Amino acid sequence: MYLSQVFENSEMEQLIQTFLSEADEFIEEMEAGLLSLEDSPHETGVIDQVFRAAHSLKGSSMAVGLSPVGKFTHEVEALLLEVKENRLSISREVIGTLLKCNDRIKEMIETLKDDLSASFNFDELVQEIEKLKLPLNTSAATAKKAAPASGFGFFDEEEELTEDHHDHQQRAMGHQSHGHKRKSQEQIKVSQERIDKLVNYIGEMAILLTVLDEQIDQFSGTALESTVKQLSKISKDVQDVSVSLRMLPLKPIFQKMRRIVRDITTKLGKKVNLQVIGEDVEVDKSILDLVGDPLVHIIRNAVDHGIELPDIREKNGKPPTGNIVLQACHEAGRLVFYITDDGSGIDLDVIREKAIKLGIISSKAKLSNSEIQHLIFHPGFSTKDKVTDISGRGVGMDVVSNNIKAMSGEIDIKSTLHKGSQFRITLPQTFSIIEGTVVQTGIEKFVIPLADIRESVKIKDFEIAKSTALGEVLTLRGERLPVFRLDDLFNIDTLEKNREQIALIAQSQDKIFAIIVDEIVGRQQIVIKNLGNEIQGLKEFSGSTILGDGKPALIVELSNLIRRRKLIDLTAKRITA
Amino acid sequence: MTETFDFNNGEPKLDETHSSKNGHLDCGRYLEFNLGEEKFAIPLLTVKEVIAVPETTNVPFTPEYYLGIMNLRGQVLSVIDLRKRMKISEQESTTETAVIIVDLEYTQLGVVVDSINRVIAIDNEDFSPPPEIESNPSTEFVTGCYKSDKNLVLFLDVDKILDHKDKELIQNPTTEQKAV
Repeated sequence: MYLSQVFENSEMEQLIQTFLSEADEFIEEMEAGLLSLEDSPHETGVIDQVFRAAHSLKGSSMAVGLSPVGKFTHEVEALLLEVKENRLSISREVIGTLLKCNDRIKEMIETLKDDLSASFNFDELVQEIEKLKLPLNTSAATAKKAAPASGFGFFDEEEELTEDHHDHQQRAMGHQSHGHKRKSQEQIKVSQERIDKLVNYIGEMAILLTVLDEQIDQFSGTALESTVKQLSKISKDVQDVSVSLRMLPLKPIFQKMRRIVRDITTKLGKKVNLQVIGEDVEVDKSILDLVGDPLVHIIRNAVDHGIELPDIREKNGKPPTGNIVLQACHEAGRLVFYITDDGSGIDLDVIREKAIKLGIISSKAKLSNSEIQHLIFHPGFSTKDKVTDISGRGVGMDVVSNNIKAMSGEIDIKSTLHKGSQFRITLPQTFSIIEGTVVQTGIEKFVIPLADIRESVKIKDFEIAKSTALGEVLTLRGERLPVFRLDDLFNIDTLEKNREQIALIAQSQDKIFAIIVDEIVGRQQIVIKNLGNEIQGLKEFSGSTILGDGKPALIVELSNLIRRRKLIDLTAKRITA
Repeated sequence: MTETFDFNNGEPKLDETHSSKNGHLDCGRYLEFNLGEEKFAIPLLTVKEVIAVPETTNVPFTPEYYLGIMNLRGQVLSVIDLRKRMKISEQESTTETAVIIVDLEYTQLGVVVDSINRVIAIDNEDFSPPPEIESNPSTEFVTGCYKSDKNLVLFLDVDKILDHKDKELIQNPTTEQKAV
């Protein structure tokens, strides 16, 4: 009866591999369904979807001869049927068990991927399923009678399994020849490497086109000019499409968050409603891979530190169920996440005290509210005295902050005591192309990411006040900003001082400062080229690019560059003091 | 030397076979070039191509011999001046001056040399280890020498042109300035 006897071994192997890679989809679908079922138990479509996924999983696994998976899924399906036919109402407990089962199936599939002959023991979970079904068998006498007829009874297991087995055997074979039926749009699987290559080549093409574009002025009015113009336009479209090839929706990550919130709240006895907005927002694959961990950290923190226990919430006049909103959207060409909770908020006094105790700030330090809130990103800072396995090992927020900085993003927090907190994470949409400002100092050109620059103003030298203690200071609309000169920072000879220069008002994290350059050459799309390993250690530059004249230019990482200047200043002060 | 020629076009790259270990060199083909009056050679298989001296962009905070970055058909590569690296007095740039693009395990690098001479094929017995000269900072990347006609040819370990110490130098230019 086993298919291995019917098929050649290699064919069988292939069927199994196909099943294993497809199983993930079913499992994901089940998990998503279960989670939304818990939130809105009366939506009938959802339970059908979960049931279908479980049924397909059972059928396909039996069809390829992986009977342990099939048998276990059968048990799960039986429980789902109870729910589906309204004989068992959805409770936290039921969903909990079903999620556990789903995890177990996932585990089985993962194990099978490595070792096809693995055996499994799932008695414990089957007992749990039985226990859930038990009250129904005793109390719901009417249902009992109807049970065997509707096929829910799993006493006639043998018969049903063989039947299903046969059914799916054919279906699995059909699956191979007809391809995906579940996908509405036809899709092709392409390795990421090939896409990356394509994107790189197109990037190079874009650079060559800018070179061409700079030279085309000599040919104005000719057919050559209009051809190049058209080519540039098409190239831009091609570039957009190539970038979009790597774009994936955030859905899987957001789903993971829902699961995490569910697990933690159960553990802590809290009640949290997680609302997810923008799971269809598409982001670059490389960002998708990196953004998960920081989000997990923040969400965990929000549940663990933010949302209060139900009785405390009620005492404070809040509904017992806390709310966390996870939102993703595009804002001004950047990808933005908001994580908002209506929990206890950040107690500035507690943070301050703790920071003093830990020696992070001095007891005399004057800090603004937002500066105090930002202390939670300081390495080794954790306010919860109790170390839990959910968060609070003291390595939470600074890791988050570092991860985000590594993606050239920023993180910000706003919080009101007793009202809640909001984290805002801003990330570039892709790592390969940014908007940049090309600046010139002396004869050297550099690129500064547009995201770092708030505005640019023309200044005369006398407008900058010089102070021995503070260095140079520019007063702009009443705001006093420290001044850094690009030529000083880079030790570049400038042609003549004292003429009109440009001050770029830069904002990096929460610091605002002025960078003086000779002139702004232009603003353009910058295709980022990595620097060779031998100079990647230079943290002052995040990469390089090729400008319109074909020459490479460095992309400046301002926050690291001005740090270099600060160090020099400190030593100077120590020597003279 | 204005046009570009490609030595290893299409040939599979051999790795490690030709990187020297313990001063021992496998026999094979080498590219001989001049730095000032002196002759050097590197394994041909590490040479990707030879180009005319390109325009470079300065990179602040790098050692003097680091010329800058160049654009090689859309790829950004570092260029170093091997003459300065070897402390050999610099020659006027001529039409002979060229940049060798070398393929290292961890990076690609442009290396400025005074002239490209020839490709030489050498047997193992023609090699001798370099005489020990302690005061010469360049000896660490000389793996052996070979006498052809009356000239001495030094064999360079390309991997060591940018050796560990240099990489650190670039990475932490502010180490000595670390304060407080």
